[in-house]
Amino acid sequence: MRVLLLGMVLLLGGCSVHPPKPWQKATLAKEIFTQGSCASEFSTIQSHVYFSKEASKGGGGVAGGGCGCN
Amino acid sequence: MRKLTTLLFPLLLFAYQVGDKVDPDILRQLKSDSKIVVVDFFASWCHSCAKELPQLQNFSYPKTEIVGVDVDEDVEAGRAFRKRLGLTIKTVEDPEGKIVSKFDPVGVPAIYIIVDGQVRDIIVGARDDIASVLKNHLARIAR
Repeated sequence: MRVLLLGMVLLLGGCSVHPPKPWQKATLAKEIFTQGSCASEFSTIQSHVYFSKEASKGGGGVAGGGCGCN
Repeated sequence: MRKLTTLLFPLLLFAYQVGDKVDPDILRQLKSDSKIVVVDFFASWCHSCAKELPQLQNFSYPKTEIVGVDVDEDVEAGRAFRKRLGLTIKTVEDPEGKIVSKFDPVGVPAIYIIVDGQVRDIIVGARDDIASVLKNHLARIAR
């Protein structure tokens, strides 16, 4: 039973995710990681659809990765 | 279970919080002998930092020194960023995150006010008028 439990812990440990720390987000802050950065039409159309459906605008983007911005 | 909790509990207390004493080795790396050290963690890819840092350029307060900690993993990018901003404040490069990982801020920019080796205040996030915000925080600490 113990061996089985240990095996399960080890297997699940392999699935653990270590998110980057705020100061390690240089790559994530690059424009290429912004949704629709490759095709500006994508974000334009998406924001239009969002506006039409939700009757609200804004909040679709993110500040640079890791920023503790207000 | 109790043993496990005892082992894991210190990990939760790892990041410096207000009131914590800073490791003397970290203080040495910050290269400041001032009574009050204002440590500002920033990175070249942080747009808010670029807005905030120039305001700290000419900041002065009695017995206080500002030390920037550039957390860029790419040292050259950090240097180029500082050159572009014309930064002259004392800066320590921390590409391996040895200093910043001790403080473990929730984001950058993050300012830690250290008085006599003790964390007295933390300001996380960019402010439009960081110079006056910082002055208010320092005045409150002095009271």
